[in-house]
Parts: sequence; C-alpha cells; structure tokens
Amino acid sequence: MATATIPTHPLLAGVGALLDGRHGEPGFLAERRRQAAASFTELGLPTRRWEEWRFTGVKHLGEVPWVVAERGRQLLPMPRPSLADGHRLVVADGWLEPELSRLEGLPDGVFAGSLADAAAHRPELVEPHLARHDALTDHPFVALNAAQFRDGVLLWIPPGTVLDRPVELELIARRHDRPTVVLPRVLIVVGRSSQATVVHRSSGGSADTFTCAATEVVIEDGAVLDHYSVIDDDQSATHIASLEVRQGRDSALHSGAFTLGGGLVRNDLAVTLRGTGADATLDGLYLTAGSQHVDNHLLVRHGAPGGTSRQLYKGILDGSSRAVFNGRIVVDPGAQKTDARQSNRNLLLSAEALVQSNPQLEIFADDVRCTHGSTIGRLDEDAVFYLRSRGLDRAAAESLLTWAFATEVVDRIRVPGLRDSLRDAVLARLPGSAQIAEAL
Amino acid sequence: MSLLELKNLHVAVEGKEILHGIDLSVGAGEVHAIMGPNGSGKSTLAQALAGREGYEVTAGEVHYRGRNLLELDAEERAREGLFLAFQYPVEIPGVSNTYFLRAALNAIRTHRGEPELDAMDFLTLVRERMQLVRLDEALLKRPVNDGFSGGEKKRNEIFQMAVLEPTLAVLDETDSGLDIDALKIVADGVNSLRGPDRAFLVITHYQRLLNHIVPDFVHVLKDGRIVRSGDRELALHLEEQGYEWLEAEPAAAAAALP
Repeated sequence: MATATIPTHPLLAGVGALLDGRHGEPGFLAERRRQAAASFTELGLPTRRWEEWRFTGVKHLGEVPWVVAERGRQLLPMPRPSLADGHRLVVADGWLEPELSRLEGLPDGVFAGSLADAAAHRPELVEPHLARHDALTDHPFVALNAAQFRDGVLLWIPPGTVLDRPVELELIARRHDRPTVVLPRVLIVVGRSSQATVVHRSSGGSADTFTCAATEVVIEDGAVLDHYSVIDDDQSATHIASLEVRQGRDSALHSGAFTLGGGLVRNDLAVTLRGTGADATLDGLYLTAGSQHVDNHLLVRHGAPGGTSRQLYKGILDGSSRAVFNGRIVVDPGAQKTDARQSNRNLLLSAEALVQSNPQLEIFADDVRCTHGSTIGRLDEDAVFYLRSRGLDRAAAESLLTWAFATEVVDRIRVPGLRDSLRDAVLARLPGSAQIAEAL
Repeated sequence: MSLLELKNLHVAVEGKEILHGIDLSVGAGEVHAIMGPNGSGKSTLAQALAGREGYEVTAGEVHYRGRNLLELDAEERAREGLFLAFQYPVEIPGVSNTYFLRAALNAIRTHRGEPELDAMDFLTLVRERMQLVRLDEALLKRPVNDGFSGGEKKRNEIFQMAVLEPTLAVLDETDSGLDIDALKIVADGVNSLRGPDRAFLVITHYQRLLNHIVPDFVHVLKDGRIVRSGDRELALHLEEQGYEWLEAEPAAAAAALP
C-alpha cells in the first residue's frame, strides 16, 4: 500500500525513504507524509491559472533538478548576533544545530528542540498538532514540506507558563553547489493561558536554494503569542513560507511579517479564530527593490463569535520590483460580533514598481463589522516640498517620509533588539539616510 | 542694497501666466505687506519665492542677498535664510516635530559652517522658542502638524521660523482661519523676531493682521500685478473701501501712488 502510492514528482525524489520508515519515524508521521505526498502529487506545482497564484509564477521550480538538503557537515556562515538576547535555536538547511543553540533557563516543562527528536521521543506533543491543517489544505508547498521535511523545531509550552525572554529561531540556508530544497518545519504550541514571544528569522538563501518553509502555531485558550518573522535572503533566492495559526478561546496573536530580501518570496499566513473572543493582530512590511517579487497572501477565518482581527500590511517598492497583497477575510455563519479590519498601503518609489492589492471579504454572519482599505501611491509632493522648504534636500525629505511610512509598522514590534534592527534595515535602504539618521 | 529685489517677475503655473511682471524691493529690517483679493497671485508669489517646482519663472529676475535666487533649489533657498510660512501647513504623519526640526536646523547650520546642535542644546533652544508662540510642549513629540488644529498649525509655522531664524520670512496668509487670540499670539511671535537684519513679506487678504504686525510698506496685488504701493494708510483705506475701489477709480488710484 505504502510503496504503491510513492509519487514520482521530481520535487518528491527523497520521499520514498520517509514513507517506508527507513528513518525510523513513528507511524503517525509516515501516515501524514503519505497524505501530504499524495496531495502534492495531485495538486502539482501552481500555475498562473490558479486564482491564488495568478500574480506569482513558480514555473522555474519545475525546471530545475532539485535535491533535498541533507544534514550539512560544512561550516555554517556565522549566525548573526542575537536580536532578542533570548533563547535561541539555530536551524541550518532545516536541521536543528544544538551546539549553536542556547536554551538554558527555560521554564520547566517547556520543550524547545529538534522536531524530529520530539516526533520520535515525545510523540504526544507532536501528534495532536503536526500537519493538522485546516486552512492551507490545498497549498502544494505546505504539502511538499509535510511530505519530506527532515527536521526543524518544536516549541511546546505547557499551560500556565510565561516565557520572559523571546525565543529566537534562526533559520539559515547554507551555500550549495547544486540546486537544493530546504524544508524547515516549525511547530509552536502555546498552552492554555501561557505566553511567549518568538522571533523567526530566515537568511542565507541564494540562487541555488529554494526554501520551502512551513510553520504551524497553536495558541490554546487564553494564551498569548507574539510571532515575528523576518525573511532576509539574497536577492536571487526563492522562498515560499507558510504560517498557519489556530487560535483558541480568548487567545491573542500579534504577528509581524517582515520581508527584506529574497528574489521570489511568497508568504501565506492563515489564521483561524476557532474559539470565541480570539484576537489576531497581523502586521506586515515588505521592502523591495531591483527585480524582487514579494507576495503576501493572508487568510483570516473568523470561526467563532466575538473575534477581532486587524491586518496592517505596508509595502515600499523600488526598482522594477513587484508585490502582491491578497487579504482574505472569511466570517463563518456563527461568528457574530466579529470585528475585522484590513489595511494594505503601498508606497512606490519608482515608476517601474508594481503592486497587486486584492481584498476579499466573505461574510456569512449578519452582525459583524468588516472594513478594508488599500492604497498604492507615491510620496506626497506637498510634503516633500514642505520639508525642502525647511532646508532638507530632496533625498533627505524623501527618506524621512519613507521612514515615517515604514515606522508605523516597525514601531509596533515589542522586542527592542528586533525593532532596532528593522529600523536600521529600513534606514539602510534610504538614499538620504545619512542626513536624517542623526535626527532620528 | 536690497535684501530682496524682484524685477519684472513673470510666473506661470501649468502654462498659465499668473504673475505678469512684479517689481519689488525689500530692504533688511523692513516689513512689507502684500494685500490683494483672492486669485490675485499672492500665494503664487510666495510659492515661487520658496522655489516650488511647477511655478515657472518665464521672465524677470529675483536677487536675494546679492545672488540670483532663481538658480537655487528650494532647500538651498531655505539654507540661505529664506523661510515660507505656509498657508496650508502639510501634515506629515510619522515624522515627529522634533526630528524634523532638528534635521532642518542642522542642515541650515551645516550650510552656514556652524556645528550641528546636539540633542540637549536643541531641546533648550526649542523650549525657549516655543514660549514665543505659546505652543504646548507635547506638540513637539507629535507628528508634524498631524491632528493639529488650524491655529496650532499656524503657530507651529511661526515656531519653526523662530527656531530656524531666517533672514527673509514670507508669511502666506498666516492669519487666515485664526481667531483674534490666536492672531495676537502669531503676531506677537512675528514682532518678537523683527530686527534690523531680518525682513518680512506678509501676505494677507485682510487688514486686521496689519493692526498687530505693523508694516513699513503695503503693496496691493491684483490680477498678477502690483497696482498700488504705499504705507500703512493704504491698508486701512483698503479695509474701508474694499478692493473694488481700485477698479472704480483707476485714475485716483494711480494718483495715490507714491
């Protein structure tokens, strides 16, 4: 039975050994891999005829003989300094590197470590949650990751536990001499009434890497999670990442998604408010230049009454870069008193940059408040002149206004080190930053 | 020699000529009022002097401190000491008043070859100058003009002027929309900055501002030309007679020219 369903898509070349248990994985995992592999085989790679992939082409992924990254033995690029001075898990090419990680001082009962180890030795933590998608069910790359990820991170926080310091997940792609798929998998479970902050950074991807990352987050009743993700690959890398969040009653999520680098980046963020009174705040910022293409697809499903969701995604586009924002809000029939808001604002710094911004509201309840707004524009020339008339030159004036546009999102980051680092990253993109940096 | 000298200045906006030859000479220490009905070209004159793109000088000359002003970009004019108080100050969400003003002041100081002010010295200066226009210090931390009332925006313009210490200040309808209390505060702020080295060009539709900022000279702008110049009495006369008086009695008007 198992061998009969082994698919033949080149991107699944390594899956056979996983499905027939040669890596000693528990049965539940092999079964979920089998389902995922079948799903990927059935779906195939997206084409532009797919509604969800209309503006983002991934044809190149089918034209390259990819191999799945094996556990590397060569030296890693030096991991960047910690942003959060917190607990730290370093994942290289999808494999946890324990010797680079720093986990002392975690509260009792917290599991922070290798996902593969956890699946083998603590299956009770993993089995109820892993690859239990209820939103990203027809997403080929989520399936691809589930079919053949080899390792990653489990962060499991028992009920009633507060993590004082952030947990940093540092995901690094090594340099490879042939086209390599990197498949990091992260599972975060925040137990009932617990609280945590996670900073999730990805870097190192280059022309020969395709990062296909999948993260699942479960926020149980009354729990709070701040989750920040930063993608900062080379301008030639392909990075497709998904984050699926399942929220319990009265839980709260603050998500900040920052895309700084990467040639082709696709972020799917799907949040399901399963419990009554859950709250999701979803911030995003993408800074693009050159020929970068960044696609943010958001799906917020209000599945229970009294939920609140706020989306604020901002983009600053230069060069001939492209951005896609697709924000979908679904309010289920029983989800009365839902309050959902969405805002996507884009600043174009060049005439060649292009944005596709597409809100989608699907409301099946009658006592709700849903709003959305989308803007695409250039810098306000009245404001530029006002600043110049006070002595700032054009580059400084434009930089100051661009800075102001970005900081609305950046200043909402609640981890100071990360906030500073993103402020620096924004400043570094501005031509007139030297003149204004001192004043800021 | 004049601080500012306009000779036969013609300005067009979007291909349409608005100013048809302005001659004006402003000496250091002088306050000149430019009055005129709506649409006479007052704001065009202000914007053109400040270097706004799109305000095309089609003929004439402007000399400022002995230099050809028209060769300078807006920011260079500002650094040379020209200040425009906007009729409609622009709201800039996300940029705090303090950051903005410090960047502006340091750009000007660098241009003058003076050292930049550090944060402490800047704050001392700013606190002192805020008192001139009785601005609440809380406004400093707020984004530039964002959510300010009309009166706060105009006071903020005068406050910026007090910090940047221009040589020539052009006030474009700074009185419009102000109640009498705010008008007095603004006028007091301007008067406290009057001095032998600083000149003002006060553009207004109404005479009432000139009760508080007493001008040395008054010019009437109409249809893109200065049709009358005089002293303060001219402003009072206009207040009584209205701008129609100029049309009704062209001969008398001409005779009244000094």
